[in-house]
Amino acid sequence: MAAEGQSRSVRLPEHVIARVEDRLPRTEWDEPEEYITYVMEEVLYRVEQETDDEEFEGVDEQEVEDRLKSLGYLNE
Amino acid sequence: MLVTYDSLRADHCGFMGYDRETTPTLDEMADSGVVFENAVASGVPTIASMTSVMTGRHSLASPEIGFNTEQREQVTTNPTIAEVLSDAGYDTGALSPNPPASSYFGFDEGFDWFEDYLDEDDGLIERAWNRVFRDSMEGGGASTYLRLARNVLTKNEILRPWEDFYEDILAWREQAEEPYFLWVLLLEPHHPWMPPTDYQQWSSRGDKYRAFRQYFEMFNNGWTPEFAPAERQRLIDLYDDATRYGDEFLSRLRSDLGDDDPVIAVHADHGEEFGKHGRFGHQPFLYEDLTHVPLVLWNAGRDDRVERPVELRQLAPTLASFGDARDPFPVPGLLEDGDARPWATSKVFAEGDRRVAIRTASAKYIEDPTTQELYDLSVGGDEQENRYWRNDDAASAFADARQSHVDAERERRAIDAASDDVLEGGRL
Repeated sequence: MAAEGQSRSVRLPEHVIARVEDRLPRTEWDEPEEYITYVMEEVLYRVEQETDDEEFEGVDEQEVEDRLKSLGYLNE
Repeated sequence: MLVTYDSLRADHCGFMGYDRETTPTLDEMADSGVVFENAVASGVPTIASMTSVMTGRHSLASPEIGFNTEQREQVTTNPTIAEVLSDAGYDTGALSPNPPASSYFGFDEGFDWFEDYLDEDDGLIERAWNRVFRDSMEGGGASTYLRLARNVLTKNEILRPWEDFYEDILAWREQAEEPYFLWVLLLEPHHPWMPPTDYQQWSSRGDKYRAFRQYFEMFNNGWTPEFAPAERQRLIDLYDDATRYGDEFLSRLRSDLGDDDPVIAVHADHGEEFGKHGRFGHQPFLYEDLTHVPLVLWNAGRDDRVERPVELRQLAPTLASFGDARDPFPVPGLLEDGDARPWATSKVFAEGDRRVAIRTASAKYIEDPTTQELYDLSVGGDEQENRYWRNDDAASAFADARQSHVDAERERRAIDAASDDVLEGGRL
């Protein structure tokens, strides 16, 4: 399932991949990518449902930092 | 090693500029270690703060919620620093004589040895807690006053001077294998203050007993008693002596276990108010007296002072990295100063509402559902002059910083809920 369609590489901590590999014998998957994709699909589906009706505008932290800096609030 | 002082304010430590020599050992460790000058508690009081230290996550734990499983689950359903170090091969031991940081709330997670001097029976703890925090301190009347005094004198309740349990720590160390992780929470300088007479430099022997009247008034007046300046000063003198006594623990620890060449992290869970905002004690508010805490990393291969604000919940990933353990904590470590955010967040749950504070190195923004406060900490730092309404740009920038935190926490909660959901549904 993971290999289907377009894909991109992301870096994961070695210890996470090792733990996924430990789980693989319990599954029908051969590769960590497949396990991780399944977990992400399952979790994201619910996260998206959960946050569907929320208003979200998004804050650009870097921009907030610049504003605070220009106002003199980040002077150490 | 992680050493937690209960209720120690940053500005009452020598290395943070206090004019009394309250912390000579910690001052020396600060000289040769890393000092975080703007370290803030992630929450107040102990249960909220220590949950965040152990799990790297903000907690809205609060005594006012009651003793429900939800509070315990904040520790037990998340990976703790003791668990990851244990998984990495560490022997783990802890001693915490304060009920809000006890096994009752799950703080024993991941520890091979955990001593809190509380019976494991939940009902008993509930009763002990009630006795300490309700019966003894509310209701008034001479009998309550006398019971409190008697209990303090006989050290039957929460007051347990560190020398009472010090040998238990050495005994555990004796049988532990290296590498080991040791966490000790000290009740110095938690009120009521009963420094041993030998350690009384600033208070008198009589002060220890005269202060009972003040404790009684504090407990009975919703922590907002009106004290004369001399009464307030008496409490501060006792507090400073209790702090000095607590510092002696570090001296003994280093002398007894120094051969183990430990990295030692020393911090306080939160501070203590002495009436600047009308309150005493450590209720869930977010002024500097409560949130600004000492934080020192000693023997960690660095000796410098960090001005960038940091939060106590960053201790978890920091200790994990010292132990070459996995790091499941959602915050960067204290020493990862690359592109760290230039503000730290504290959060409490009180009177049914959440309060959030955004702290930069020189300013502080506090918001709850009805009020906004903005303080310039560079001019005296006494948080008396609210500048929020004077500067719209600053107000909106801090409000956005807060919003960014809220968004991130909301997403994390959604992920956590989704994982629970997936697990409960038997999908994984």
